[in-house]
Amino acid sequence: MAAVVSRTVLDRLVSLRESPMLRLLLLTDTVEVCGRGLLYCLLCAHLRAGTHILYLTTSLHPAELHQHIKDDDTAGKIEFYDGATDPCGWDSGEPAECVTKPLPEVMKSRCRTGGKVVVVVDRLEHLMLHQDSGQLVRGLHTLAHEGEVEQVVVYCGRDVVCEDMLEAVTHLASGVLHLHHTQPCSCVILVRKPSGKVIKAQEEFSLTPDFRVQGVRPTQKNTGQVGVPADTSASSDPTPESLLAATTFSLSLTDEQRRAKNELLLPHTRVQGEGGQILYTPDQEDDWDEDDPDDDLDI
Amino acid sequence: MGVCRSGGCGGRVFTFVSCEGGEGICPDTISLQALQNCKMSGVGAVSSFQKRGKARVVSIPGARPSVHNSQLLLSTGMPSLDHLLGGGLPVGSILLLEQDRHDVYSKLFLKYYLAEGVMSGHMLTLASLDESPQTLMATLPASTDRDADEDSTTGTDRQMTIAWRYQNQSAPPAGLSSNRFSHSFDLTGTMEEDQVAKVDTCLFDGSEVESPASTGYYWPLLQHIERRITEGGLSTACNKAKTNVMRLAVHSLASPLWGWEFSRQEKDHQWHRLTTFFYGLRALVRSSFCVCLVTVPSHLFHDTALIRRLQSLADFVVRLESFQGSDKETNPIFKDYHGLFHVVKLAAINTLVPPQLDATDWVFKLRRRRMVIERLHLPPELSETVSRSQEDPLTKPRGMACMGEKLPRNLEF
Repeated sequence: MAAVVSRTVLDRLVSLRESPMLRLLLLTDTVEVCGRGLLYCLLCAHLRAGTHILYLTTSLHPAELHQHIKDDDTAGKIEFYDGATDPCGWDSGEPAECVTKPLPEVMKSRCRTGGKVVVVVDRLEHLMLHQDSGQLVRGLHTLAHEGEVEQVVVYCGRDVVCEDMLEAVTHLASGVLHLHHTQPCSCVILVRKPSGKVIKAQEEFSLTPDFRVQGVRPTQKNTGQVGVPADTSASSDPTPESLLAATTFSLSLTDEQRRAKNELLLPHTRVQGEGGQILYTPDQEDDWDEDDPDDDLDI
Repeated sequence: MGVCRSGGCGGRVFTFVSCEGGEGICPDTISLQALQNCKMSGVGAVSSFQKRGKARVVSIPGARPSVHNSQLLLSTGMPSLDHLLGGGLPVGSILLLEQDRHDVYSKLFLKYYLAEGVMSGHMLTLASLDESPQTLMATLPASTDRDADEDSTTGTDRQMTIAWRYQNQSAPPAGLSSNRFSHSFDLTGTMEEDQVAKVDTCLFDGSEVESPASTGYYWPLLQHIERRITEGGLSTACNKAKTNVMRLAVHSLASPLWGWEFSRQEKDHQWHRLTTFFYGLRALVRSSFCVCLVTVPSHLFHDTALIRRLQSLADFVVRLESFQGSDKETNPIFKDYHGLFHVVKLAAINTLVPPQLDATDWVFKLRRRRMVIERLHLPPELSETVSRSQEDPLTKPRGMACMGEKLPRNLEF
């Protein structure tokens, strides 16, 4: 793993550097953009870190999943609960237990046997077909707060699942990732830390064939600035170009001259690094609040 | 005529509202400390201005009478919130707090409320499904009151040089500090476990409910509260003199874990469990020496009629709107503050109108050590980039003849 300090929220999430670990993570996609790739990235990171995965699958067969998520050479192992083959019991006569019983009961036997586990719920909307919503939500909450469970990842399509369920799980989740169909793929991330800090970010990324995230970049916002607009230019000042044209000496720069100007290093500017920080730990008696009383002066 | 011996009005003499068999109802405490029968001294007794017998004025720790009416008030833990509520939370009322979107600040309000209860020695009952009540009780803010013992030891050692005549006088009794109305807290510290353990606490986290699908959590919680009130002898129907109050706190009521009421429409008639619970809670709280704080994630509710019903049932309703993650975060007007504080409803108990607030826009701000609620002040407009041509020349009053180009064409003298 690279030792680069990752400034993007998605990087920290996927490489599991987010501390403390998000207990309940909701990953949503739509019909237009598939979130499976990101899901597999997250799971591969968990496997590399040595955590066991309990995967409840309702749409893809475990054998198919095993082709993508390989646990042969990783410390962590993956265990599948098959809710995809015959969930309603049309062939076997009995509906599959893993989709009808509450989640904590299904995972209970495996959870207690020591070591941290990550529980993955593939396709929440399919589970909703077999269980009552309230019971499902309570099950997710209980599971996420179980001692042995490090993280519960819930994967669903936000255009198919009903709004109530989406809101309910968003309310309980500590991290939410909504994927959007843009070029390249972007996601809206919301992270709620136990200390009370809420981080919202919108980042774009791409995936490598071996399920790693790369090229994470915050999306350029094209929404307008909120606040008091201080524009006076419309009424008073004439445009700079017309002024330039009116004078008899040339004020404009050719491309070469502009390049030379940009490269010029003035003698008194020092190239600064990250040094010169002020480290201040407030005392017991200090009641220092962050706002500067001189903030509202704009001289 | 007779003497009222109830704790609330402190042994005054009145004319009683009705007398039946030697017992009457004191008109003053008829509403909140409702219907507490007062023993009369005798039907034909001569009125006297002296208290008959020992005046059993029992003072409840951490409570004081209101200056507007004679109700017993308890502090919410935050002096600025107490001020907005008219001095404090009256005994027997419910404060409904609508949570901010991510439940960050409302949890702090809850913790202040519980910490105040611990400091005053009140009985506590906390119900929370979203977050473990044990975690909530373990993360209460530390108190910043210095110990009474500390004060007295430092005082006696000093040799007074200027006020030497007072050297021999004893220090004032330290017992005064134990019955303080409102305590101050420091959010950077945590209250010690042994201090929390001294208080009679009861936690409800839904684990003792066997089949939540059939009974839900509302009814078991209501029964639990009723049992606690009866055991503590806090009901007004019980004739025992009250020495303590109970603080009830319900965290994140009607969240998805409690039930699915938040998603239903009014026409589905599925809200009765929640609204009946709230009504029952109000009845219990009104008829006992309790005070209640309920926080609700109202942003989840699809139908606004549900929150309106809860608001009409509660006595005091406030709403937090935090700027986290919204457009208002970048608005320069709000840059010093963390969110808006809306006072939706104030109770008018025993009065026609509630105590009026002198401002309508309130904001809350989380400082490093405490949370305060303040009036919204717009920042001063001092920047030079403010355009000077603010006044539209067209709307300028005509008739100002000395204004350059506005000079009227025909000067009339």
